[in-house]
Amino acid sequence: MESLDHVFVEFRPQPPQLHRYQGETEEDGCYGDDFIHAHSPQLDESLDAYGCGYAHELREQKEVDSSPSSLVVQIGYSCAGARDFDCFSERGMVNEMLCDKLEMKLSTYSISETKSETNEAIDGDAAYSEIGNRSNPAIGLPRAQDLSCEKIVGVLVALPQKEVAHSFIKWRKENYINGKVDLVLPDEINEKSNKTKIEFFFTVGVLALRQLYFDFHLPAWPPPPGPPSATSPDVILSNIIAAVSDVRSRNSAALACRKWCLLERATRAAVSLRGNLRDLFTVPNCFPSVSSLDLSLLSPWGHPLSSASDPALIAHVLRHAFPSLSSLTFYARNLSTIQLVASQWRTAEHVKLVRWHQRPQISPPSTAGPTTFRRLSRQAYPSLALNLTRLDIEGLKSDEIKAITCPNLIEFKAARRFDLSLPLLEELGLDICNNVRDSGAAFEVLNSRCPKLRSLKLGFFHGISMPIESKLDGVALCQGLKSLSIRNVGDLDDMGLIGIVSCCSNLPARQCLKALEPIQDRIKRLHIDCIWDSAQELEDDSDGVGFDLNCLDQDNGFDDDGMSKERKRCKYSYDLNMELDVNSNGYGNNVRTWDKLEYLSLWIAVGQLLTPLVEAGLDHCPNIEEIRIKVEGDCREMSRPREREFGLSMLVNYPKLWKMHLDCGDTIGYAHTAPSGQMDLSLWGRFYLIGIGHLNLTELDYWPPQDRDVNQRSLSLPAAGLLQECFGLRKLFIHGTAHEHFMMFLLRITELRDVQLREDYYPAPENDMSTEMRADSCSRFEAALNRRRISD
Amino acid sequence: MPQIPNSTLLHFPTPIHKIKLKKSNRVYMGSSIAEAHNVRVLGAGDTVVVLGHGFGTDQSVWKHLIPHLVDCYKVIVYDHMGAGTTNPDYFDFDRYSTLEGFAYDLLAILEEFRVHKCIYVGHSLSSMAGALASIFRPDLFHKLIMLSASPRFLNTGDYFGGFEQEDIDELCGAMESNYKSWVSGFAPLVVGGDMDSVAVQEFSRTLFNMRPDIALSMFRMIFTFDLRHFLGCVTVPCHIIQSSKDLAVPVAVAEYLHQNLGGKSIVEVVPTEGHLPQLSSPELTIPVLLRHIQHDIVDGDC
Repeated sequence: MESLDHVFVEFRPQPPQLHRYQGETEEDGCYGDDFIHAHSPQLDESLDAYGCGYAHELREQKEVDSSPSSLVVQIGYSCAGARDFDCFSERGMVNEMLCDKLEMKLSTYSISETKSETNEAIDGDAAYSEIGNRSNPAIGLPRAQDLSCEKIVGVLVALPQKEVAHSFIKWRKENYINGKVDLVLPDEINEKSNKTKIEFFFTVGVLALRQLYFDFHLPAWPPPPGPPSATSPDVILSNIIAAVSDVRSRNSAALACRKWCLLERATRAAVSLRGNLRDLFTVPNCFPSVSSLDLSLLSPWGHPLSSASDPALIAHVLRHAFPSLSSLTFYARNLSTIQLVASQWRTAEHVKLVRWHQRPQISPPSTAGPTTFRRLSRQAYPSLALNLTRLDIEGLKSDEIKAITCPNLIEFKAARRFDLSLPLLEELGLDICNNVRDSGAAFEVLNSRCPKLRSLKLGFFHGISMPIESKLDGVALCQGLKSLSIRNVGDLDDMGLIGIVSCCSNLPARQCLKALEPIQDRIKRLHIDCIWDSAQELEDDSDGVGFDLNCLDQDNGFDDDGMSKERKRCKYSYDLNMELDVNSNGYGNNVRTWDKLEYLSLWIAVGQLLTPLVEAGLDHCPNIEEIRIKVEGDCREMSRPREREFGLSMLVNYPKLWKMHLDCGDTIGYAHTAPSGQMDLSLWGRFYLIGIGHLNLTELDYWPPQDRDVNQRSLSLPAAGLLQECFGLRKLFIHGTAHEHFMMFLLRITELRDVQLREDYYPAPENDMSTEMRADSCSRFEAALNRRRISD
Repeated sequence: MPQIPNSTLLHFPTPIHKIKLKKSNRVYMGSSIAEAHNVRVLGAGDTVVVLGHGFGTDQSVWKHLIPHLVDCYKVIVYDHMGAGTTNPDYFDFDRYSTLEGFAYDLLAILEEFRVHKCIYVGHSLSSMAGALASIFRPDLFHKLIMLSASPRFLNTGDYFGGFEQEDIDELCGAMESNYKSWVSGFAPLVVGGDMDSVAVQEFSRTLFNMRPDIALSMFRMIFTFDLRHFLGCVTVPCHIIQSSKDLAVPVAVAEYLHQNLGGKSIVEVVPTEGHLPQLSSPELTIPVLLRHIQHDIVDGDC
């Protein structure tokens, strides 16, 4: 058997071709950039279109080392990219020819390795004779010694077949490569339930880059007599691939070999397009089965489809690329986009209109969506309305809902508005001994309608608090409550309860954390308001009293109405002796850590520091991966803070942290020159971002602080400079605007692959006159980003 | 329409339409002018109003004014070359080392959009570029509205421009050191907090909104140009609108303009603060601007 080295042919990429704009020549000294026909690798968030196809023609390439062994490494590269699929380099491209060869190689292996066992298993079943000869349920078990390098190991699909399992175990024993490759066989094969665990491995060298687990129901085994195709490996494989929902896993699978690639594409049901609107005409047309298409994330962010230079052409191209669409998501602020889409996809059954600029809280009816839809359904495209079976829409008035006439509508979701108002109500008991589901929204309305509500008793209400991330909802938003009694609630989980507790603005952070101590080793997600109320806390602690709501109510001097947003600005002073007190109050003897905590959400008032967080109890959090920090308040009322930095660097205490949302969007200040003694927003931006470079972040969402007077949320120079120090950053979403040359700073981040300016706030930037970042600037930045070489 | 006396033309380069641009200056070809300058034509009306923004800003500086104009006027807005929104690669450091470069740009835009007559509203730098353009082609301008305009920012002799040479040197020095630190990657930590002077802060903010080397080049140009001797050649009626408290332009400058402009002129001082009153105090400034756009100077006024 020849080694892998000899299987691969030399990979000779085409030299990059430069295209000039027609009609402009060098002689003219025109300023038209050399137009490199480079594709945005984000056009699809996968590299499907590029990885195995024509990308090598389109991307600028450097000389590829032509030694065969390096090609093996290249494949390994691609698999490495599988962890994070949009990170492939031009060197990591898999040539189709390579794929073919690889597949051939893998099949060969499987025959030699497992022939005897499988023959036994399929004995007497004529349908499977072909399989035994050609391919095998267990695909790709190369022997270690045949792998001339350790870079690629292969892909395993294991079927619930004892013999295959045995052969695999044997293989693993024999070929355990330096202890580096962690291949695990489906551990429990349960033939009775026909359910097995399928694992894909893309293992490169010492890095086990991606493991995917999912449960999959296989057809009965041995297969019932019938047409052979029903249970042939191809069909099974196709089903398996179709069952993979995670996009990156699908992309990984598509890289395995050409067959997998074809199967993957044929079974891809949903695609979310990224990349620039102007490049849409190059959209890949290899996804014939896509039924759900998301166009709302196209760049430039928040530009409607109809703003393309030739919207009709784009729609036409899209319709041809995705012929079987039934579900569409797109950004729409005006009728023209809807008309455009409706004219092309009259068979669409599910339409989602996205408007990023949501008004905060309960909004008056939104302008574009419902109204335009109503007009649409009434006049323009009755056939579309006829076909719709699902419609999600928000902010509709009841008379507008009546106006929607879709006879086939099966599912209709609409956030309703309540008109009832009891402004003087203070005490309310609702126990109707009947299960009421999804009641959260009702309590939010209750809160807005009954501002004086102080006491609430509920029975059999469900869904009263279902916070999503740090966004609280339901009864947690009833700010005026002093007493809350909940009975027979079926779905109130820890997070729901924490949501309610964390909304009690009278609870300082330290007490909240202490209250959670009994369950802290079970909490996975936590939101906490960083209120460092030092004096009060010290008092409470020194008494050795644990967490007691009543005690707090009496002691602290917050406003009677409980609505007080005044946060004391005492600088937190921490006494080391407190540790002893904490330990002596009952929980202390065995120190509990936040072992399970993976997600931490923080609210913090502007000007407050993050540094007391560790002392407040969040010290041992070895598994925090994601953190969300919301900074809120008015800088204009604040003098220059004494501290130079907010304290992000303390987060290095959380070794696994890789994702951060830093939301200063509700921090209000002066965008332009501030009065003397105060800081303008660029300096506040610096205050909050100092130290971010010390964190080993991979993903960051940043909301710059805003100046409401000029409706500006712009990335400042210091912010751009500090962000550029996050060397490991791969994804950066800035929820604001930015000047082109500030964006260019970000090119220093070598790992950066995905950057977007998302203007997803309210009020929306004025489309006509907002100029911090124009579409052209955006494109130039994207081009520069995509032109770079990717180290991995 | 008064004609420029022939003698005055001697002071100036050949008018734009007769100039054969050097190769290096031929940066705009055909319809690319509109694209390069992000030109936008808004509204409908027989009269054309052209809005030129000042240093360190872009056309968005007019966002409060435009909504009031689009119903009655055809409004043309554009960005200067070098503004944060234009492609920095198009900035020709030679061409824009004098005010003429900007004047030529304006004339080229007017030509491109076949504007035969317009009301030109210029802010700061642009008001002077407009004045210069009106000397080249007075036939194109019905009148000029100059907001926060100054023919010379430096104090010279008995002229009070508002800045001493030392101030400018200090500002330039600060900019240069910051630019260097920017280039070396440390700018964010330096800019702002460690520069105490309000003036330096203010300018650094505007400057760093542009690509810093471009900003610095324009900054130098602004503090070297001296248009005082050419004011007499401006024959188009000029409306001078000035903040009562402007860090960059003292009120005395407005009076100087009024005294020295060659044509009719009128001064209105608005009780606002800052060099960008149309942005910082639109409620006071916009009505004044509108009034001056809508009404011409009657002889008795000046």
